[in-house]
Amino acid sequence: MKTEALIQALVADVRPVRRLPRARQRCVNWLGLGAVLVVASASALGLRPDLAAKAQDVVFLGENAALLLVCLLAARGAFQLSVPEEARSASTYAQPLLALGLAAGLVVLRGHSATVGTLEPELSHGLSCIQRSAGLGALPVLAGWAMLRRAAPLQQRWVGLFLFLSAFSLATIGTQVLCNADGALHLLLWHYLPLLLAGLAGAALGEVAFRKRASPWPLRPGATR
Amino acid sequence: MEPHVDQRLAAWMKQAQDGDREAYERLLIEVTALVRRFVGARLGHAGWTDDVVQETLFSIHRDRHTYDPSRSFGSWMYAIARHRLIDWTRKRRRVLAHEELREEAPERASSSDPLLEHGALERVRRAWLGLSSQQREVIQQLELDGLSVREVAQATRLSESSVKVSAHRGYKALRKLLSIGTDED
Repeated sequence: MKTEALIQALVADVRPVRRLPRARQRCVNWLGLGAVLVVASASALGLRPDLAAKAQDVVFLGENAALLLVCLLAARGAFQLSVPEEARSASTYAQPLLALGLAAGLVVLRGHSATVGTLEPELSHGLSCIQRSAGLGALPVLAGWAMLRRAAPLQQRWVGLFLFLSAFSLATIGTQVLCNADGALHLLLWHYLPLLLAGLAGAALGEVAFRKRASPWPLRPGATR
Repeated sequence: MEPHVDQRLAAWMKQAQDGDREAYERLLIEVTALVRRFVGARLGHAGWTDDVVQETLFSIHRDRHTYDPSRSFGSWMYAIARHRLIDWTRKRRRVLAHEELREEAPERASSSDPLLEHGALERVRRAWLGLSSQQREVIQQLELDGLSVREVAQATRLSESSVKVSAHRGYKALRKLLSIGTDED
């Protein structure tokens, strides 16, 4: 079959399609859903007893605002990159990563200025924090994956990275309203490092996860429908 | 891309998204010429260029719901073409590396069968196994069982267009794999 015959086959196959809503709309929908999921899950798990006091704490609020910024910018990046378009600005890629650096930097600065005490409370509860983050982030990741897969992500690694960063930033905020430990080392080791690793895992999984998008025909030798 | 060309293609794509076949045909014909020029300038080999053009047409067809008529059509189309070109280049590199390894296999030289000595049978077998099960099924029914496209469509529960496209992809993959082997001989 030549290209001309292929065109005829594609034309014969054409039927009305439902246009994908704009990236911004899909992003807002996903963020809303993700926030509901995380808030509901965190409430079910039991909020930290001193949350009312922490809500007045500027440092606590600032650190979580930085995480929220990571979440928003990464979500925007993931949804923008999920549709084909030339000439993406460098800020699409750089902003979420800079925000993550800022979020971690705030904690490092606080840790640097704090009096060094015993390390034991800093290093404890780590596994439960990782479990909480993973549990809180899993559903938003799945929902985001389903929404992004319906689009056509060409840069799958970036989309995977930003989806995971966004979902797990939200999950980390959820973890911080559950976890009583506020030490800088604890946060860096058990809240922020898993967030970074989740982002890297998303980048690694992205290529596979988004390439498996259902297609009407096997596009490559060896591919199965 | 000239702005008036971009606007015309965007309008056709919008109509195609609503199911207009005439607009879609006009669009694909024009897109084919543009993508062929774009890819040809980078690959410089007519056969390879056609491969990438066809991959791009498939992607445009599959992902046409992602085009937003308020945005530039050219930007959308060239982004797809660029990525199909990158994918194709990577895939070809992998196939070549794989073939080089296979060429070094000792059993090929020790065979006493003239066909096997030339590696032809083995190449055909490998190429055949490189197809998807659906492609193999469709090609077998069309070529070996002598069924018509309609009969194959009924037997496989695919649309006739899908049967044609599957066969097309299979033939192309076979041709590519076999030509690579021949070139290296």
